[in-house]
Formats: sequence, structure tokens, C-alpha cells
Amino acid sequence: MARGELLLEVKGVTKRFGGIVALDNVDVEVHEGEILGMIGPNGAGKTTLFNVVTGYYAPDSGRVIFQGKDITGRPPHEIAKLGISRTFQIVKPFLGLTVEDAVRVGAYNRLTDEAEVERRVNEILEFIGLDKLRDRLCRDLNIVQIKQTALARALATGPKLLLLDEAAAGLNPGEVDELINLLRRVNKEMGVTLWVVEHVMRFVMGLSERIVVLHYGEKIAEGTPEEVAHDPKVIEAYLGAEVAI
Amino acid sequence: MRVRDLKPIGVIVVILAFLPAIVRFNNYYVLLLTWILYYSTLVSAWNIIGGFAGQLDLAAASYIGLGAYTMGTLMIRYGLTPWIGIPAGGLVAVAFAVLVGYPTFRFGLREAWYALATISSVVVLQKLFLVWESVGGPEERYLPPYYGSIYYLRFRGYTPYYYILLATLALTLILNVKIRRSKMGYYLLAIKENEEAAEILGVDVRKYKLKALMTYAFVTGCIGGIFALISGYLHPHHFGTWTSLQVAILGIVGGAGAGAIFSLPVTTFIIYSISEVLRSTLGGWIPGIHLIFYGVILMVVVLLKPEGLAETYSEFYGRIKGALTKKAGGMV
Repeated sequence: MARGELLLEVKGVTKRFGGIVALDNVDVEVHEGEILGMIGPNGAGKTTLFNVVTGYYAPDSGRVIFQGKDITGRPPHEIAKLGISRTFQIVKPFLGLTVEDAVRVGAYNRLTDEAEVERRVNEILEFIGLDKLRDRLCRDLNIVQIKQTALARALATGPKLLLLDEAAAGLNPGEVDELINLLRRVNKEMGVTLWVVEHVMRFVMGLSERIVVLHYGEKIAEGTPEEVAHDPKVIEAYLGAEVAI
Repeated sequence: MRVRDLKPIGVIVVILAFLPAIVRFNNYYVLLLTWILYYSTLVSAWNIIGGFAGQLDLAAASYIGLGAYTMGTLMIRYGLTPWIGIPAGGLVAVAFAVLVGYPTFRFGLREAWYALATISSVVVLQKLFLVWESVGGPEERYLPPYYGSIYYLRFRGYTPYYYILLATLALTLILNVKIRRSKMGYYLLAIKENEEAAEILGVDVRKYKLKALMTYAFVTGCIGGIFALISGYLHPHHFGTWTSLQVAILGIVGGAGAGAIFSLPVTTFIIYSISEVLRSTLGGWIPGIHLIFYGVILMVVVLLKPEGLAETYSEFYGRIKGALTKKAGGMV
């Protein structure tokens, strides 16, 4: 597939929790090879949208189309097989496993031959820079290393599309820059399309080519970082309606 | 599977193989050793579901009872050899495991709820076999006496059963190592650590939990068939919740998990021996008092080593090995 072709299509997705509308008729398109950012105030529905795309929630209405295939409501493990992986806002580490074994779990997604699995694990550990920590238990890692391991095990599944939910949260500015560089390499060298949710503006503005803005479950803006930053609706959403009046 | 993974199994089996000779094949002591081995094998099988997959399964006695009744009934009614009856019992246990496991995993029953669902299966089966007069019923059903027959695996002494269980233990440990080093092993460990995270890495959580449950149920059902041969009769009390609890307790104290494959039989051996010594020395003094001491010992172990004894052994082993190599190095 050529760069720029449609990879994932979210069409009119609505998700309600009781009386609360978490997502209201949201449309998003992700193109092959791009880095798409998604921002929005707390409770805007960003994580809910990720959960719908990766099969953790079934939407009340709307479709999710991946590479022309309807994947709406499919379970996460099937979606992983098709080529979507993710990390979580609240990291879900395998505390009792070593870094190597955690990555190995991901590597079995596409590979069955043990030698190939081994090769893939080594490749990913080296790429992320975790090879020195490979025998360390995840419970003995610091937060940066835990997040790197989460990224590594997701990449080991061999995804075409990777969803990152607040990967930069809790990192200092130097670490954020390192992560931006690493993700650019993931995008360019591994050819993985990225869709990132982020509160750290420096991260999302610096990394994304295009940004989608959610507010109270609705998509209120879409465009380049430049366009989005100057959009009055976005300013209103972030600063509050009172200020605008 | 690597050869070096199998070495500890070899060591354990060789040591255990000599024990009956050490007690000079005294029937009472051999019986005692047989029960210890019986529990060691059960706990090693339980490690697949309880240790790798992290599910607090308390249905061991269901599978034991089904294995026992299947093997026994086939022998009593149709004169079928236990060589077929034992694996048949394992398959019946697997069928029952699917019956209980599929809905529990489908509806995401976990932790305490899973434990309750599985232990209630034991109680249900016990009552069922009590009223199912054509197979069970309240009276003991004795196995035909064909003593000395390898075809029927019926022996007067306990020594042959000891070695049958030893072979079963060896196979169960090999199975543990094999699973640990395979895709299934890594998937089960991931499920134990975090089901949601495992799913998006491509792990079909329900399928692998069920696979682990079926494997464990098969081995446990087979052990149930051997159990019936040793006890010589069938009775609904073979579905005993105490057995289920005992297996889980010994598993937890042994530190069930990836690193506990060899800790489990060793721990079971130590703890069960202590419990038997207490029973024979204190049991005549005040009935039941040995259980209090047994409980206290378990509490102390759990308080001091909440993660189980597995790491304690490997530390101990490491220290011995370190001391030996140091000594050897010094001599050179």
C-alpha cells in the first residue's frame, strides 16, 4: 500500500455509558505512514475512542474499518492479528516477567518459528535500546523503562498501526525529546503508522503531521498543528467558553 | 525444551526412586510416601492453571473423582484395563472442565469468584454421585481383586503404585517445563500478569485459559484413576473439598508459577511429611490437634514468604553452588 492511502476509518462512532455520551458521531481517518495526533481536554473521549478501535468496547453505532475490512466489535486479540496494537494510558506492565519475556509475548502474534521469534525479540530490544535490561524483571524497572517495554512488546506484534495513549505522560522534557526521536524512527524505519493521544503539547505538536481535536465526545477540529492551535473552537474548548464571551 | 531444563527432573526422580528402599519397603511407610507423591503430582498439575495462568482453581477433587469413577466403573462393569480406563478418566475430566470452564471464562469470572465456582463443582458432583445409584450411591464399590496383574494394575502392596505415581510425576514435570518454554507458557504468564494488556498483543485469553484448564484436568483425571486403584474402591467422598483446598494451599505455599516447577514437589514433600509426622505423634493425644500445628506452620510460611518457597530454594541452591565452585576454584 502506498503512503497516504486510507488505513483506518472511524465512521460515525457513538458510544454511551448510561446517560453520558462519551463519543458522539465521531469520524476519523488515519492514512498509511502518517503520524496522527489527538488532543482534547480530560474526559473528551480520546481513550474511549482507542478502546472502540482496539476492540475493548463495542460502539453503540458507527463502524471501524481497517484496510477495507469492518472490524467493529471484534475482540482485541483478533484486531492484534490484523495489525493494530496499542499502549495504555495507565500502563499495564507484566510485573512478574522479564523485559525479554514481555516482548516475546508480543512476538508470537505473527511468528510461530522459535528462531524467528528469538530474532524478532532481539531486533526490537535493540531498536528500543532495552537489550541491556532484557533479563530484568519488569517490577524492577523505572517508569521510563516500563513505558519503553510497553512500546517494545506492542511493536513486537508487528503492527501496521500503533495507538499510543499518553506515552509521554510523566516524562521530563529531555525524555520527551528522546521519545519523539524514537517514535519518528518507528514511523520511518519500521513503517508503522502512529496515532497518538497526548496531553503534553510539546510532544503532540512536535511529532504529529495532523491533529484531531475531541471535546465532550465530538470532533471539533482537524488539521495541521498550526491550524489546530489557532482554531477558535479549540481555544474555547481548552480555555472555557466564558473566556471567549 | 532444552536438556538442561530436564536435569532437575532427573535428580528429583532418582532421589524419589530410592526412598522405598530406604524405608525397606515397609508397607506403612511406602503408603505414606505414596500419598506424598500423590499430592506432589496433583500440585505439579495444578501449577499449569494455578501457577502459569494464575487462576485459583479449586476443582481438583472434581477431576480426581471423575477420573476415579470412570476408570473404576469401566473396570467393575466391563472388565476394562486401567491402561485405557485411566486416560478415559482424564478425558471425562476434560469434558467436565470445559463444561465448567467455558461459561466461567466466557463471563470473565476471576479470582475469588472463579475459586467459588470451581469448589462448588466438587460439592455438586459429590451429591450427584451419592444419588446416582447405578454408578455411585452411598456404599463403597470395590474394584475386582485381580491382584498381581499388570494388565489390571492391581497389587497387594503399595510399592508398585508408588512407582506408577513417580512416573506420573516425572511426566507432569516434563509437561510443565515443555509448556513453560512454549508460546502457550508465555501467553499464560501474560494472562496471569494482565489480561487486558495480553489481549492486544494477540493473546486469545479465553482460549488459552481453557487450554490450560483442559491440560490440568486431563492430568488430574488420570491421577484420579490411579487414586482409585490405590484406595481399591469408589465412593462419593472421593469428591472431597479438602483435597481441592490441600492442592491449592500446597501450590500457593510452594510459590506456584513459572519458577516453581521444582519447588512444588519439594515443598509438598516437606509440608506433607511434617503434617503426617504431627498426625502420628500428636493425633493420639488430642484428636485433630495436628491440624492446628499444621495450620500454624502454613501461616508462618505465608507470613515470612508471601511469594512462596520457590525463591528460597533457588537462593539456597545458588549459595551451595557458589560455595562449591569457590572451594573448587581455591583448590586449583
